Amino acid sequence: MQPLAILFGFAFTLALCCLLGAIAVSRIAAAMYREERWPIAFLLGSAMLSLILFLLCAAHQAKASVLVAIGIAAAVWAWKSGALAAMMQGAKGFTPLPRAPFVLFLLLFLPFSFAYWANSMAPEISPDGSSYHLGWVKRYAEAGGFDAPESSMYGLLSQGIEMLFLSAYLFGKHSAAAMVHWAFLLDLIWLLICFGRRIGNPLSGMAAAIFLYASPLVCIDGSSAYIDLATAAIGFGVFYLLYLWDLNPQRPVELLLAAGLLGGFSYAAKYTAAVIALWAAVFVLWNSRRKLRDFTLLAAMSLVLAAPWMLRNAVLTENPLAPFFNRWFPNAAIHIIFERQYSEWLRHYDVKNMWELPLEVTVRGIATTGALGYLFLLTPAALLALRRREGRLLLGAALFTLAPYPLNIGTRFLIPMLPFTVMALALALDQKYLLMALMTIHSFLGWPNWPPGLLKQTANQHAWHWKGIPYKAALRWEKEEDFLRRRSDSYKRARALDSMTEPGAKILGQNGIPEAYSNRDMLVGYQSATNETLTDILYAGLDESRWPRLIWIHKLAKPEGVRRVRIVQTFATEVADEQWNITEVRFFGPDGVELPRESSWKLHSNPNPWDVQMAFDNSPVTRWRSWETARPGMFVETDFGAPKNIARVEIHSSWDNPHCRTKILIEREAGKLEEVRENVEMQDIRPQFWMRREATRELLQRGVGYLSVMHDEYGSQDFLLAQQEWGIKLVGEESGQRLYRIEPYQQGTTTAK
Amino acid sequence: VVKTVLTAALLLGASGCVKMPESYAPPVQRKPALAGEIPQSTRHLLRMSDVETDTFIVQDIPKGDRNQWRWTGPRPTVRLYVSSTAAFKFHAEYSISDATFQRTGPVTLRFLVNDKMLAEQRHDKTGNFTFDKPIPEQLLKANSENDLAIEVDKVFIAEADGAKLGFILSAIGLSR
Repeated sequence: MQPLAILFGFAFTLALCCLLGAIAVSRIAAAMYREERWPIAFLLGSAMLSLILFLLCAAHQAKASVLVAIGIAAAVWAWKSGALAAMMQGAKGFTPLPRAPFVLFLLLFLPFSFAYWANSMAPEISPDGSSYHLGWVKRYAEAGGFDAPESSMYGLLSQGIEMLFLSAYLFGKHSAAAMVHWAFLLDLIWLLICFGRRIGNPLSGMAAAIFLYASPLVCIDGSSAYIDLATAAIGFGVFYLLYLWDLNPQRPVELLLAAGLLGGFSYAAKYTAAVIALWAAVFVLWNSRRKLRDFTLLAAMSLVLAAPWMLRNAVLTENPLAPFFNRWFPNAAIHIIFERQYSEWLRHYDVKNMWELPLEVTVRGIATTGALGYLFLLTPAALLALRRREGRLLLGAALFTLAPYPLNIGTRFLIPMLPFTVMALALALDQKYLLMALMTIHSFLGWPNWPPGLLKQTANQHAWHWKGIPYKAALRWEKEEDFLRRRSDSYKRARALDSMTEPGAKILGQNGIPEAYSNRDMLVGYQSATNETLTDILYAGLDESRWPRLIWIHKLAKPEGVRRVRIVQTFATEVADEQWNITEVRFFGPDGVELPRESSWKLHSNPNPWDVQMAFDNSPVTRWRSWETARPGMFVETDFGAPKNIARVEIHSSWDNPHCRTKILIEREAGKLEEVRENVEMQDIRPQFWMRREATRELLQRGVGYLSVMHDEYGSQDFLLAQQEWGIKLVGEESGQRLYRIEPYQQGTTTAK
Repeated sequence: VVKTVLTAALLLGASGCVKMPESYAPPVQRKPALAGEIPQSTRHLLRMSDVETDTFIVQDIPKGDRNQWRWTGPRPTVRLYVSSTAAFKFHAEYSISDATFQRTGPVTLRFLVNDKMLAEQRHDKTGNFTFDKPIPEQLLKANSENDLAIEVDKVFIAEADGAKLGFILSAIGLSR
């Protein structure tokens, strides 16, 4: 039954996309050959279905029954409106493909398609697919709509393709979603061949298709629940539609609108793919006779698909471009310093020498997770395509899609460029036997686990690529559970977490799990501001540099009549990761007694106003942090609401911000802040608190019931050996992951074994 | 079209106006526990019934068993992390079984720290035993993992499956 459900989920989504697309394409069908209509219809329909799913998710009506109703309505509409008939009739086709190259194409395409089918229909085990792409799809499917995406940065990315995965998932679960991604790749293959035929180079079209289809990275990515090939297909769709628009003397506005829709869909699919919409705008402004009108139409249609995602993020986080651009739109969901550190990592991965990057992305594929294949060493030859107009257009679009690549040098981030590159390369090398030879050799080298395949002979076997053709798992002759356990340690970890914790449990860890297979709330340290704060609290139990050892004491010469105190950071640090941290702010009267904190006090800070209470909660393990590099002018402020006598202000801080210095501004008269003369002393003390237990106690208070710790990660030995000091209890271990339960805190008693 | 563009632009523009929270009241005050309340850790001592014991085993102690004791092989070894080397004792609780003693006769156990001999213990009769001996600081490595092993000179070889049985171990590790 499961294979049928998978195939139904896949086919239903495909059919619905085609039906919706047919309604749109029927209006522009005259501009196309017969063969071009369906691949374009699929892309347009997928954009429409993605938007429909977005609205359903927003309304919490994303259910299988609603989708079936929409499917029926779309079928009736397409039938009654004559859209289906218009798709089938009245169009001429391309001239037949040249026989020998076509036979070769089929000989290569069909075996690869079998491998694609098996890998996509087998249980989903890809890292990102099983963690966040389908993790969020699963959440939405269970909740019937959007469910707290701000709790992880991945949930804040645009999810236009995930919406289509959701359609498939509702019927066929994970594998159906992965197959939908494969469908986009097939669509792209079809379009490449169509483009070759349209420009009179059918062999180049077929060669380009095989260059793409047999690339090792494309194979594994295109058969996983990823979004890269879908993004590439959408981008090429934009290019294709505008090429048709430019070709047509009437410049049909419908083609422009369709291109605009796909341009917006590219943003909805993947932020960085929005450059294709930019390319479209430049192309239209360059070639249009009515520039303003055409540009406006294109931009407006793009917004139809792009704006919903911006609005969602604006509502959830106050940052329409979340999880990026947090400096422009400061928010409580993602820390500015995280974005900087994360972006820094994405720009370099583990590539030590950037001159090796071409070799890395084409042949090695270890540091940048995946190789395109030896053929792509020939990419510079694509420049020969500049000789003809189509070549120039293709390479121009390739350049645009390449533009965001330095922001993330993972090989996958080259995929949006590939359709243009392979087409240009095939045009540049437009010699029958040369192309046929390259198609054959490239396919041979890309074939999974073929002993003579070079990938297997080298260290590159560790790169991300197909590991066989799991047709038995695809048909579920091998049980899904058995396959997943055999192939994925992270799956075993996810199942172990589920079995060792109660439903609804929150688990804090520094490594993600395949959320698509877990029913627990895994809070991964780096994935959101909240999780980073929880991690900071946890590590306060472990890391002395986070302890409130530094006490800055400001003694005021005139204690009377203080209404407001502003503590201002004054040092411009040169250490990029040095934040300004305050564990506690304490005020003392002339008698040396601390002023009890009153609920009428108003606390404020800039930046990070959301966490200011953590500097006033009397906990040694929580602290207000700037969460961006310390700079002069940052402040933490207390408005007492009434005059107080304050002789001493203590700022309890830590050694992990050694360069930060402070001064005090005081308001005595309403609205007037004055810098005061003061004596400043610094003391280094050893906290007398039980820091480990305080950390877990605070976590427990914040709803975290468990800690997941990999055996080789920071602090793992300490957690294991000092369970009593932490107040935790090891409840199990799986594939290098230890799970600890945080025991309820009972003062004066030992709770751990 | 113009209306759509304007509306979208307005909505986007509005979303760009980030509303920062103005102020908060002081939160509920925590009452942190003092260091004097810290319980003594026993994690340096591995009891065979503890679930985490398996993670420290290097060899010759079967994993996955949750009984109070386990049969060892000829050289049961565990690996423990210590942050300081001062004042540790090698602690072991074990039994010499009648079943093996009848075949092996008296046995000698050698207690090793990082492959260096700490002590030797000869057993001429069966029974339950406890071993406790201070470890010279130079035998331990601070801030790193240390191997503790007990080597038995004669093992019982089971006829059924050829398994080599040393003695019965209940606890092994470091104490203070």
